[in-house]
Amino acid sequence: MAAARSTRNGLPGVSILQDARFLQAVSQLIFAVLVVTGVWAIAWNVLRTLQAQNLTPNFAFMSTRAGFDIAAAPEWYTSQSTFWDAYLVGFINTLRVVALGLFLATMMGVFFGIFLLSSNFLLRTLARVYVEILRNTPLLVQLFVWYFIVMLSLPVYQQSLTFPAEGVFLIPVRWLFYLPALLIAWAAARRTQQRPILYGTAALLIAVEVLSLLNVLPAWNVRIEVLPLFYANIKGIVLPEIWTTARFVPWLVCVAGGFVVAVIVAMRIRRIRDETGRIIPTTAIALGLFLTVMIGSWFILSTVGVRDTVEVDQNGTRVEIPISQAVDEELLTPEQQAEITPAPMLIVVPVRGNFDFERGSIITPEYTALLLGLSVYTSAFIAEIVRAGIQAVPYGQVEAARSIGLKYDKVLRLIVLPQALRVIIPPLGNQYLNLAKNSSLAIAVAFADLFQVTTTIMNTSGQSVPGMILVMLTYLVISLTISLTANIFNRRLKLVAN
Amino acid sequence: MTMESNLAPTIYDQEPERRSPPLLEIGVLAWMRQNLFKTWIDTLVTVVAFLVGISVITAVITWAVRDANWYVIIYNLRLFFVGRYPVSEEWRVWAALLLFAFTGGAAWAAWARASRRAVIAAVVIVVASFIIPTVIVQTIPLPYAYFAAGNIPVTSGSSTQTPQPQVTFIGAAGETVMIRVAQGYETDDVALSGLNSFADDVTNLLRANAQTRLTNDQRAVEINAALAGDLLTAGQRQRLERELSRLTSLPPVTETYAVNQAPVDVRVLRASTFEPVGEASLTLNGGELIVTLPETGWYILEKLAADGAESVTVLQTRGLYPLFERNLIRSQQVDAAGNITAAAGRVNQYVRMSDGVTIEEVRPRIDGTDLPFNGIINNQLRGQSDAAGYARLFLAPLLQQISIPALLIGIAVTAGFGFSRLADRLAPHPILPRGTSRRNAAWLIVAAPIIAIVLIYGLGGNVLPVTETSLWGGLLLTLFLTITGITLSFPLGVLLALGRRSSLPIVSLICTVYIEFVRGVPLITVLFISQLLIPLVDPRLAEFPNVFRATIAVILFSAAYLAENVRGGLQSIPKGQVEAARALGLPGWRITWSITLPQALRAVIPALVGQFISLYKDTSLVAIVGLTDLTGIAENVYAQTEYIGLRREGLLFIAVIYFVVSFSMATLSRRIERSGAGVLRRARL
Repeated sequence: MAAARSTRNGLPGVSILQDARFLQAVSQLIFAVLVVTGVWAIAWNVLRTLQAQNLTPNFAFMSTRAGFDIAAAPEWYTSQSTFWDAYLVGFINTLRVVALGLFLATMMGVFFGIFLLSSNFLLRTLARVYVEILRNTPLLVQLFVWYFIVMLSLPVYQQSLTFPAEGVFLIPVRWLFYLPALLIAWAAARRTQQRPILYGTAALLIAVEVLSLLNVLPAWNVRIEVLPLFYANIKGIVLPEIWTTARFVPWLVCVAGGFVVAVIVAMRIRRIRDETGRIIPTTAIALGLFLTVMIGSWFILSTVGVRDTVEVDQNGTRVEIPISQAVDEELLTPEQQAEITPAPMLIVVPVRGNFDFERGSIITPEYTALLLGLSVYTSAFIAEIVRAGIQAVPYGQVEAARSIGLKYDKVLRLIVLPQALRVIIPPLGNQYLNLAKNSSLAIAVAFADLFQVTTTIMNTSGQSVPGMILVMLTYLVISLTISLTANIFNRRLKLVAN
Repeated sequence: MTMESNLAPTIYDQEPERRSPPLLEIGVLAWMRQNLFKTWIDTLVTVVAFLVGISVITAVITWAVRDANWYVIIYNLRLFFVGRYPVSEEWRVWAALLLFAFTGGAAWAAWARASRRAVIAAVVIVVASFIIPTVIVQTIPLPYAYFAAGNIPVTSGSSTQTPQPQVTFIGAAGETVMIRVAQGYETDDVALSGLNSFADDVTNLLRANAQTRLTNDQRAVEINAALAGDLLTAGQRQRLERELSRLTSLPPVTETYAVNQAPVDVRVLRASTFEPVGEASLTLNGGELIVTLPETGWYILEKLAADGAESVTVLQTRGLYPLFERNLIRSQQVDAAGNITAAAGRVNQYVRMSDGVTIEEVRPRIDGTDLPFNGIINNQLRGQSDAAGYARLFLAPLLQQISIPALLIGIAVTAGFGFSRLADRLAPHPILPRGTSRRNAAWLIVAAPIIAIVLIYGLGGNVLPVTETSLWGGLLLTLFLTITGITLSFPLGVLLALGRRSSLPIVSLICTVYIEFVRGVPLITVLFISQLLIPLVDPRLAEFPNVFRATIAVILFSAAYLAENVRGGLQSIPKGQVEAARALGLPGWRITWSITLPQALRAVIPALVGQFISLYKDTSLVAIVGLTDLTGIAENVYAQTEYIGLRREGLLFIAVIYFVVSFSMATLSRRIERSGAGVLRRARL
């Protein structure tokens, strides 16, 4: 400080070499020059070597024909598409995995985090084992397990697993009465404080069951035929298709309108609450309004202007026939079916063909393995974060909340979680980042994500340096987006410092 | 007066009866009530959790004991641990391992307390690893090995094979070989389908045929029963009918191939001289051939069916067990005078799977072709081995392989322990009770990795020739990457952290850009760049080993993360510390080195260890760029034809290794944290 002031004043007797600011400037300059020279030397050498191999780095090649196929790519991608298209396919696939993975990992992580704090010893221990096993083994090994051991041991097409299990089931009629009976007895026992009512009902039900099993009582059964909605086999998981019909867009507009109205109403109620102090169930009203609009518009749209005839091709001529007849004779194309269905959306159950499914959307085993591997691995870390966050809330807070009469769920929702979130958000953001970056391990299970597609691009075109730059920049953008979002949340939740 | 008597206290002149506390308030029952069955929801959760836990545990144990084939692990332990590291140089790995064990022992004595339980556990493990296999080998006999003889081809599915006239096998001196015609297989297919032991290809085809036939028949019965009932959906009924129409009823296998109907001439020959050591003509009830082998080496079993007899005969044998071949790398052998005694190159070893007897002689040849042997791929011991079989086939050989290493490590740990105690006694530290041993142990911890790496890489010359890094693999490579990664990225990370907090804007900017860039991209991209870019920077670097390229990538990557951890520590140092140091007139570097850095590092020990653990796990990614670390070598192992389909066993094994190392690091970190070493020391008044 003294030296700096003396030079500023131009005091004699102090050499420039003793001036801290001068020394700092010089050392920074030297450092910057060293770094820049190093980077420049590497870049120049790489460029020279590549030029010698006739591979001057550029991005122009990205607009040329890719010439390779991508497994399970969307329809618009063919081997005639450009490298940019291929890159886009990879990018979209990465986003698909990351978005759903973040959701699943958070859900599982929160559950296991709460399990880790359970007062039940067995649950706590199981959750601890789950977390420790997942945290202490490499993700790559886990992905191999998910892909090669779980997904690829699924049965072949003919023996596909079904859910709900396919078949005809006989349900005894008496079972249909058990649950209502128990509920009524429970309610009665609660009101009259008479436990014997409950015990008596239970004893009666057990007696009925025993007598039926001994064939004393007649066995009346309800025959239920169950057709599966989901299938799993070695080629992937088959889900019902969701078709949007001609009425989907109007319905969507109604739903959006309902949402806006609900939000406006909620804000208005909140203002009234803030001004008058009256307690109004805001969420219930807003949600009820929204659901009413959603379901009501569905029914109104489904009944207005329903057609009962349809034009079909019969022996080359177009004939107008009743819909029921067309359906019976299976004359309708999928487009026509979407056209004439009165409901805004249509769920189409998978249909088995001789060698493959004729209907149903297939999720590849690669995608499933990657998604499960990533989200289960990350969920273990999130569970630990959630546990630490909840434990960071002083127990006095809970006790104080209980003492002013808050119920358990309100204690959790209004007292514990808001304070825990403050501790949870920053490391949670880190885990989200990790999940996004770890999605690049898709290459181990041959899923065509951003990184895998880019390596294919690099191998096909020989342009490795631009490819690498592209893929790194994309990951940087994804990472920055996630950390930016986490920071915004963090700032909103931060305690206002007095 | 009456009032007074009413107010008079009741006096118990006898001690009240002692009653034990209610059963549900103390002991195990109370604990269970408190922790498992507090409310009815709690009870429900307990039941569900118990069922889930039990079913997972039983499924894993059943699979591990009954269905798994652990040969892939037991006879590839070398690959899993050191990869293709030259056999002749293996002592160096051992020396490094024992050095680490010694260091561990010394550190234990210096910081921790001698735990009687740990010592007893270690002794028990070492002793058990010697005794248990001996007991198992003595009490449980090996299963028979089955060979088919005959002259007609056997077909099953898409493969067709004719019994081989000669099979070669390894025998040890003094062993007895017994050969006879297997009894009971000529009558029906049930016995044949249950044949579960070592067997050659043709026997396995017979067995597969029998199994197919029996399962087909049974499936047809099941389908007919289901079709007779009315509990089927239309789709199910249609599929079952189609399946039934495809099922064909096959004739009994024993009839098709006339099993065990013809006599077989059997000879056992010395492979070196082709001299018979025993011969006999065996029929179904025709006794057995018993031969005692004169010396260790290759033998040939010749089994010829009588001319013209169209049949297959199954021979039941003892002493002829499956073999497998392994290729090892040996570096050049030089004697004391500097003459080359053995050239460098590949060595073929043949190992007998039943007990690990290993020979290096060349396989016998007849008419210029190698004689076939019954290999591991042929043996069908998958699926139904019982507990005794599991113990004899897998447990005993595994324990036999780990017994001597366990003993050596135990001795080294004890020696390290003794060394520390002796040092404290001979040269006690003036102030601290264990000061000397702690200083020694600290030096050992720093020196051991360096010595180990030098040992394993080599110095050149005849004693420690440089080993090719491309041969490194398995746990050795994983640990090499981890240790060099930690030791070299740590200083770099500290420098980056200091740079980022520097008051010099350009330095701070460059460090920040570096840290944020590296933290924003996946490790796999950094690994790819290091593989790709290094030869481009200078063509002379094309020879630069892949292992070192990966190491550099790991270091550069890990440094950015470490820097953020260290920065967190630096930020937690109260400003007064720096101000006080400055007031004392310490120069800037001295403040950092002696005041801020030690406190900052101590404050972030848990985060640093966490980073080291994730570095250790992340080294598995080098498998993707083609290195044979633990994950990579596992993928290579079950890519071999002998071990196809044994991926589960391999993955489980490496997962356990990763878990053990990583979990112990985490436990160590927790102990350091709990000991208070990581706590910032604040002033107390």
